[in-house]
Amino acid sequence: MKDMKNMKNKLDELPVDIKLRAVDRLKIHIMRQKYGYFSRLCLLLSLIGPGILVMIADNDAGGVITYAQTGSIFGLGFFIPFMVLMLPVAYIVQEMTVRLGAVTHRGHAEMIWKRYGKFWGAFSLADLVIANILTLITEFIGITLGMQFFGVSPIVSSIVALIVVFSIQLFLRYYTWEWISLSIAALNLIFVPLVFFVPHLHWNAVADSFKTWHISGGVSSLFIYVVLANLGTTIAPWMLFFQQSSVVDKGLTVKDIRDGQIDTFVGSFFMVVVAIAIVIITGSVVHGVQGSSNMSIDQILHVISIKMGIIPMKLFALGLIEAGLIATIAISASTSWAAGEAMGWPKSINLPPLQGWYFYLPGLISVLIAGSVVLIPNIPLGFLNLTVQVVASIFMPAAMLFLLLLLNDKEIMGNHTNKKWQNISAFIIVGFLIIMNGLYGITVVFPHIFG
Amino acid sequence: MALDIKKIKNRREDKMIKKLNGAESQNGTNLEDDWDNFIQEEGLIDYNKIPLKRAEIKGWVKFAFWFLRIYIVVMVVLVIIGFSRIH
Repeated sequence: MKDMKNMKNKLDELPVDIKLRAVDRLKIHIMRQKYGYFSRLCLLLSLIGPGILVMIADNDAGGVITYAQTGSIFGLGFFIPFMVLMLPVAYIVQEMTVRLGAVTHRGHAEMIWKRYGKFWGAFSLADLVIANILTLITEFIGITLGMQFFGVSPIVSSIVALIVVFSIQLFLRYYTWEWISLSIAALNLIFVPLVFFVPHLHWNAVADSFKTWHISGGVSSLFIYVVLANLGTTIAPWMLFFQQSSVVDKGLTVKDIRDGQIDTFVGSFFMVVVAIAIVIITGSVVHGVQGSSNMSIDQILHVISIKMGIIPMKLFALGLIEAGLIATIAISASTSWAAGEAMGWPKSINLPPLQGWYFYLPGLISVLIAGSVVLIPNIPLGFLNLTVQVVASIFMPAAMLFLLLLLNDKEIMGNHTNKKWQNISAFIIVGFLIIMNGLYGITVVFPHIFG
Repeated sequence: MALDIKKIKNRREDKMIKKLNGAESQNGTNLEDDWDNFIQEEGLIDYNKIPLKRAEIKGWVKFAFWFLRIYIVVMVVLVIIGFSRIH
């Protein structure tokens, strides 16, 4: 009894956010002392979260729309094996944030700000906040558009989404926040069983795509744009910031790196499976229909309802709503964490709303802006998507460079610096990103260079 | 409502301490004596209070930063051209 009181007193001496994290870490400490496969599995289940969450949130409303349009433009071909290639790309990039967070116990924004100075810190934060607000607008477009298929008006769906996101961010401690977010994220898998509702699906054509890598219509500026868009949805700047901060807020340490890596791999796997499922659905059902190379998401859903039925179309719309909602939760959290890290504020989802209101404020304001902007009639969606793409593509190589510099910094990473193969793979990814961005830039200036 | 939340939080805290006591009596360990080490190892510290030294920019890192500056300028120019064509 006395021990319990002493331990309680020791916990009470910690700041409230760290105290709650300490309670979670006590649970991990107890679990580590048990042996056997079942205990090991329970430990893994307690440690996973940030990786799965970031990867599923990456299949956001913009991502779902991009995959759907990719399938409807190019059909079953190049983009199915290309999506499989995205698994190692996403894993290699995001795994680095796990190690960085677990070793330093600091978020990405804080590391850039403090290691490379105010200029690069402010540049990264400004880029992140702008890109996040624009991305949040696309999430709200996805939510309101999806809700329209259930007869809910945009204003009602926007207000409901705002209330849900505000409640999740403000009133839950990290542990509960993560489990509720993961439960919402699980709905992202709704696209996978939908594949079996595709009439006359040619699995041979799916298998052949791995042999032929066929590009319907050949290499064109549209093809480069779609490759870049898919790459952009696979690795986005907010993901680096989100997963590192999430790892820190969850309290992962160097002992948990292996579990963090498994978490990231499982997340990457689900992300790719969902992306391929969407490409197969629209590649089989929409591709080849008149005007399929230039369809909006509501036109794609209309074709799905004609060819697959109302229920699959509604399930697809539900997936779109979920994708927007989970990404809104993750992106607004990444804004709050990054601002808190840059400003040196206490930054944790464990903070009670009254005590940590300034931590929650940047994320919630960005959600409020997005939720309001989406209600403006005739909002230029194409222009908005292009701007998101552009800001992200300018920022991504910069964010990746900082990540690589930090992961090779022996002073802070000690024995956990990048291995040679990790550096080579990361450089190839950055190089590919820069080349694709360059090519895209050239196609903007000379639109007919690739025909 | 606030009281309920506090009760739940306390219950979780109590449950964890009880579990810890049980595990420790089985293993013959005592976290209370090793508390400072636990706090340090688990990173349960306010890192805002611990300064982080600025990195030295030299060698290939200097080159990388110059490449980044040029890349950003080139991309911004391309974006301006691109957007001016849209309007």
